[in-house]
Amino acid sequence: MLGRMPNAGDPAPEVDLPAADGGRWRLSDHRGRPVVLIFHRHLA
Amino acid sequence: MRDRLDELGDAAVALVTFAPVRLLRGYRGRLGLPYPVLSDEERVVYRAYGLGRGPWWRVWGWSTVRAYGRLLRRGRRLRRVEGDTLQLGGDVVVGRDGRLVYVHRSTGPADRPPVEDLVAAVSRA
Repeated sequence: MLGRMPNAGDPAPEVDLPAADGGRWRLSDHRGRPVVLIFHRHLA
Repeated sequence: MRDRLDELGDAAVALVTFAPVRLLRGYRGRLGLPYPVLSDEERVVYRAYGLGRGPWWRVWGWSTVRAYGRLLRRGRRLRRVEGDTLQLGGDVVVGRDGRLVYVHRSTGPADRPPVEDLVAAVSRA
């Protein structure tokens, strides 16, 4: 179920996910620099 | 995107998938990706950014057929698809202040923004 969708100007929802290198990646760790998030559809 | 990373300045880039972590090591190495690949298996982050599932007729419609046709004509080999093919993707730029600068929610498989749009958004961030 999707809630209200965030749009430009809104606070970015936190991202806290496991990474392929075994570590963990958090959006909040990158505050102060731009961040590009690319959401894939599926692995192909 | 990979070819234009130098245009993104100090921006961080991350690829989000819903594949299990155990599948990602091979994927990142196979594609030679220079940025982190993240696993959102439960799609919590997908939903938080408003990225849901598309209807089958849009995901597997003529625009998708044409897009795969172009890939095949360029000599690309199509691989077996893994995972939920109806999950839609998207591209997001977050500014230095933690606010969204740019949001593109794909309406179908062939719907991705030009890299120029992402580069421009990063320059505004």
